[in-house]
Amino acid sequence: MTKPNSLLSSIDEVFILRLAFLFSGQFALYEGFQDYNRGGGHAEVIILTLIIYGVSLLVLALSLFPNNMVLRFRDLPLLPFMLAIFTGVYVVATISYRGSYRTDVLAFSQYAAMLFVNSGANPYTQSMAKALDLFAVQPSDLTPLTSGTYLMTFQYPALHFLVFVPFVLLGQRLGIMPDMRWVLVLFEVGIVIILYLKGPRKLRPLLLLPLFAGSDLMINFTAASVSDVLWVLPLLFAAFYLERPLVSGLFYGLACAVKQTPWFLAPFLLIYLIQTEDGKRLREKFWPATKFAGMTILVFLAINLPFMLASPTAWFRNVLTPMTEDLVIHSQGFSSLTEVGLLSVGKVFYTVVFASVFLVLIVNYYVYFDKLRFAFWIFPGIALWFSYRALTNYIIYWMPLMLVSLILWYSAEQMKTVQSA
Amino acid sequence: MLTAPLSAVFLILVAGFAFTNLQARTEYPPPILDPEFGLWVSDHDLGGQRPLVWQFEYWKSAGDQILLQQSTVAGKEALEIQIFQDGMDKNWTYVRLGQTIDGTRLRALLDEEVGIWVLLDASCACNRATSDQASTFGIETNDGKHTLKLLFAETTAEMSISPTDRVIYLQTPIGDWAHHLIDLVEQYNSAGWKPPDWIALSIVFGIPGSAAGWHTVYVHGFSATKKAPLNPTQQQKPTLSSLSIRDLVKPNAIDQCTTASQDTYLPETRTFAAPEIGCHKGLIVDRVELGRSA
Repeated sequence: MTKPNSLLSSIDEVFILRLAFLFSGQFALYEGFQDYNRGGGHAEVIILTLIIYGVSLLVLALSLFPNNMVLRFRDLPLLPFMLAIFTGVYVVATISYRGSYRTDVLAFSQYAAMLFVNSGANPYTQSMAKALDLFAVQPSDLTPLTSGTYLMTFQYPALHFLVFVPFVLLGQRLGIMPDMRWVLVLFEVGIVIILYLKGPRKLRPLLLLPLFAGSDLMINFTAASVSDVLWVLPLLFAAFYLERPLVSGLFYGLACAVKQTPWFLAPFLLIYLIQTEDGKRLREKFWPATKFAGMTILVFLAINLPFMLASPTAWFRNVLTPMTEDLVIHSQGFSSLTEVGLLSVGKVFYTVVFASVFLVLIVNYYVYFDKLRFAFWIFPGIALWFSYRALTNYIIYWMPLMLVSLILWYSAEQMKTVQSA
Repeated sequence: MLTAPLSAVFLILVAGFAFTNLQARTEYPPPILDPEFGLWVSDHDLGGQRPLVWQFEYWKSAGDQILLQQSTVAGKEALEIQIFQDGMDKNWTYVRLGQTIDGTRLRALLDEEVGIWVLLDASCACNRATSDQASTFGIETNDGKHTLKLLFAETTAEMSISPTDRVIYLQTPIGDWAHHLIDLVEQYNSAGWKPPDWIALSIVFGIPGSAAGWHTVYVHGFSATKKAPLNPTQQQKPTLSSLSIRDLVKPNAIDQCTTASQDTYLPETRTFAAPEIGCHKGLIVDRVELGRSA
C-alpha cells in the first residue's frame, strides 16, 4: 500500500522547504526595512529591525544548507513571519499612527464594550461619537453618509464588541486603556498556527506563503484596526469541522455573531453539507445541514437575542446598516467606476448586480458541485466585489479559508490515493 | 449542462436591464463634509473642543483667546467662534476651519449652489475694528493659484479684484441669521479663472489688534443644492464688473424681510443687477451672482 507521505518525494520536499525559507527571509527583510523607514528614529524600532534582519539573514542562509539541516529546522520560516507581524503592527500602530485607530469599526467596538462594562448600556441605542475622541480617529477613516454626516452607530452583531469585554475589564484592573489591535494580533496568530498545524506536514511552510503575499492581510490591515480576523478564526474551525455539523455550526454561529461578512457563506455551506450526503435517503441527506443550521441559529441568537429584544428596531437598523443607511458608494470593486464618475449609476444598480452574481454562484455551486466543491470560500468575495461597498477587506480575508479548503482538498486526494492503492 | 452559459446570459441581461432602468441618483459623497458641525473632538492645544472633520488652524498672541463650541442661537444649532483680542499688540488673532475638496466632491460643489447661514453677534463686548483694519469673517476658497474671499459684514466695501484674488463683501445684518448663496462657477467665470482641480474651502474669522475684547460669530451650517437651470435671459455671457454688493442691496430689504409673510425673492433690476435679495423663513437672503447681466 502506498503511504500518503510518499506522495511527495524527499527532494521535492526539501526544495519546497528551501523555497519557503527564502520567501520568509526575504519577506521579513522587506518588512524590516519598512519598519526602519517608519520609525528609524526610535531606539526600540532599531532594536526590532536588527532582530528581524538577523533572523532573516539566518533563514536565508539556512535555505541552502545541507538537506538534513533544512529538514531539522523545517519550522523555522514561521519565525520571520511572526516577527514581521509583531514588529510591523507595533511600528505602524504605535509610531506611524501614534496609537490612533484608523477605522471607526474598532473604535466603536471598543467604546461599545466600555459602555457595556461600565454602565450596562445597550450599544445599539448609543451614539458612538465619543469614540472618535477617545481613539483619535481621523475624518478620512470614518464612514460618510450622503448627507455629509458620518455613521455614528455600532453596526455589527454583538460578538464584535463582546469579544473585547474581557480585555476592557483587564485594562481597568491594570489601569490602562488597552490597544485592541493586539487582540486582533492574537486572533491572527491563532489563524497562522491552526493553518500551520492542520496543513500537510511536508508542505506546511509553503501553506503560509499566500497569507504573506503582500503586507496588507497580516500586517497593515490589522495595524490599521481592520477587525475581520475576528470572524476568520471561528470560521476556520467551522471549515475544519464540516464533517461534524454541530461543531461546525457552533463555530459558524460564532463567526456570524461577529460580523455580517460570513453570512454570505450560508447557502454555500448548506449546499456543501447537502451535496456531500448525495446518494443517501432524503432525511439523511438533509439531516447534517439541518443540524448545522440549527446550531448556527442557536449560537447566533444566544449572543444577540438580549440586544435584539432590548431594542429590536435599533438592533436591526444598525446591523443592516448598508441597507438602512444612506452610505456613499465607496469601493475597490466594480462600483469604483461610479466613485470616480465614469459610470453614473446608483446603489440600486450595484445591489441588483450583486444579488444576481450571488444567485448565479449559488445555482452554479449546486449544479457543478463536483467541480466547485472546494472553491466556494471565495464566492462571497466575488459577489461582494460587485456591491456598492466593495472594500478590499471584504475580499482578502477569505484567503485563510481558501487555505483551509486547500488542506481539505489535499486530505481528500490523499484518501483517494490510499483507497485506490 | 447549460447552467454556466445560461448564467452568463442571465447576468448580462440583468446588468443591461439594471443599467437602462435603474438610473437612480448616484450616491456621491457630499461636497462639504460635516456641513453642520456635528462631530466634535477635544483639542488639547486649544484647551477645548473643535469640529473633527474641519481642519483647524489659528494664530494668536499670548493674551488672546479662542473658543469654539456648539451653541443654539435663535433656534438654530451653530458653530460658535469666539475670539478674545487682548489688544496688547497689533497682531491679528485668526481662526481658520477648512477642508480640501477635490474629485467627485469638487464636481458636485461646482454643480451646486452653496448656501451658508451666518450670524454676526450683536452684543460685542469689544472695541469695534477701525475702518482701515476691519475684522474679517467669511468664506475663503483657495485653489493654489486663486483666492476668493466672501466676507460677511454689516457694512460693505468695494469689491476688490486682482488677477489672483477676489474679495467680495456680502451685507449681513448684525444680530439676525442671514443666508447667503454662493455660486463658485459663476465667481470663477466672472474672474476669468480656469476651473479649479481642487479647492481649500475655509471659514475664516480674524480680529485685528486694534479691536480689543470678545468677538463672536456663528455659522449654522452649509447646504448644497442643485442649481436651477438658467433661463434664456440669464444665459447671456457674464460680464465682469467692479460691482459692490452694497450698491445693489435694496435699502429696505431687511425691513421687508421681517414683514414678509412668505419666502420671496426680490430680483434687482439695476443695470448690473447681480444679487437677488430676498427672504427665506423671515431672514434676509442674498444670492451672489456677480457679473451676470440682468
